[in-house]
Amino acid sequence: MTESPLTTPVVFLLGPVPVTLPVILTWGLMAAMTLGSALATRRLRVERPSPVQTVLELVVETLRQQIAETMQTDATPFLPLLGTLFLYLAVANLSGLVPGMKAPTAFLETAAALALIVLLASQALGIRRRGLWSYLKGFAHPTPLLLPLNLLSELTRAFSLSIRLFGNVMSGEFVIAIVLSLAGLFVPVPLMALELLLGLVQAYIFTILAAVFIGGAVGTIEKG
Amino acid sequence: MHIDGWTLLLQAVNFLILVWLLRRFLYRPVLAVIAERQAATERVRSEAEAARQAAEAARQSLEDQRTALPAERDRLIAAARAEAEAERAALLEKARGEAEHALEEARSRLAEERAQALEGLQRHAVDLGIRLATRLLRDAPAAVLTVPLLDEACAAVESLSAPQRHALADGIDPVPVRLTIAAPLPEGDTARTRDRLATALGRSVALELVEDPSLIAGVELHFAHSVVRRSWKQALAEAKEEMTRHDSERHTADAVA
Repeated sequence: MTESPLTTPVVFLLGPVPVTLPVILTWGLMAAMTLGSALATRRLRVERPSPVQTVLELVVETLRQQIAETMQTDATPFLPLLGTLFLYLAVANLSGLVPGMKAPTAFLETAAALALIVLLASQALGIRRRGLWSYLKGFAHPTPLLLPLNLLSELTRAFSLSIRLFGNVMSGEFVIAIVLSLAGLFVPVPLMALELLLGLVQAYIFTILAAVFIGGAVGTIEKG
Repeated sequence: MHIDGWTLLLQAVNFLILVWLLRRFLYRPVLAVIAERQAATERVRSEAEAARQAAEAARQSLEDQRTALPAERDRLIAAARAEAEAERAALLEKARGEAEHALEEARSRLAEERAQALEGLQRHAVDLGIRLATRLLRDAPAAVLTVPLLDEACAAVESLSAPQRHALADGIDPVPVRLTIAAPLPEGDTARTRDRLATALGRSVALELVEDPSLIAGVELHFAHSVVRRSWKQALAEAKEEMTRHDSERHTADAVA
């Protein structure tokens, strides 16, 4: 444990832009996920699908069902955003368990970027679905007196999303690193198993909360 | 704690790019194949539903046919019964006609046979009567039966007109007359007869006596071209002919009736 988990190491500079470690890791995950998807969906068949295709269909269909159950509407328009959110979070969280790797979500910028995207997407989708005036009126519901609090809650929800994700992933990795430095090779294995579960749970929680926020914004469910 | 704005921005852009990439390479193809499979499933389900409906329609049709079957059967049975009844009536009528025809024929044949039997019986009775009469007459004395008939024959010649009597004589003198008798006559009767005939004919008569028992009783006067018969043989023959003729006429009349 030689550096603070709250720092974001810069790998190289691209002109004035510092390219940090989570960005490099995310590029790697993006490449792997895109390549894997392209390879897996190369020969899809209606009759007698392959095991890989079956797993893909199961994952996509399960995501769609979960989002639909959460948002109480057809999930297909929201599947690319929310499904990618879950898949990226799951892959990113679990990548931290690979020796020599670090989860991009263990950096605050990544979690904040995802929360910011959810915040902006919920506003944009809400305005597009309900109209600007109707959407803005929703902030004064049930009484205009609550307008400041409602506006604040939008920001705090996004903030809590990012902090929850960042805190859980970062702390898990940090604890594992501490235990590993203190006790040796196999002692942190139970903690890593727990981190495995934790990473999937965090991905699920982040995605479900994002679905709830977007559903509340587009009006398919009651705004929380 | 410091947040690097560039990293935040790059991660956001990265994520949006990943959304686009996965949408392009994962969701779109997988959702397409799922939709295609659902469409295929729906198509199969629709076909199965159509087949089920067709089967249901066929079953309903069969059910309707089965329901209509008793009525159709009753109708066919009634039609067959009516046809059989008509055929039976026709057969009965035909049989009745044939029976009546046969009965009529039998009656006619019976009547004919009866008539024939009756006729034969009558003929036999007539023969029997004639034989009986012949036997009775033969046993009677000649004078009792023959003499009156001889007188009757002479009277018949006498009752003829003059030209007829002249024709009997035929211009011959003496007139040859053959007197056929059934039994010998007393001498006085023969002479008396010769005289009566000579008187009637106006000429002498050469009387030739011939005995013929077949006459039973009576006489026959044979002239050159004519015969005067007064005998039981002739009387019985005429009676027989008369009776036979009467019977035939009566039988013919019965048959026609």
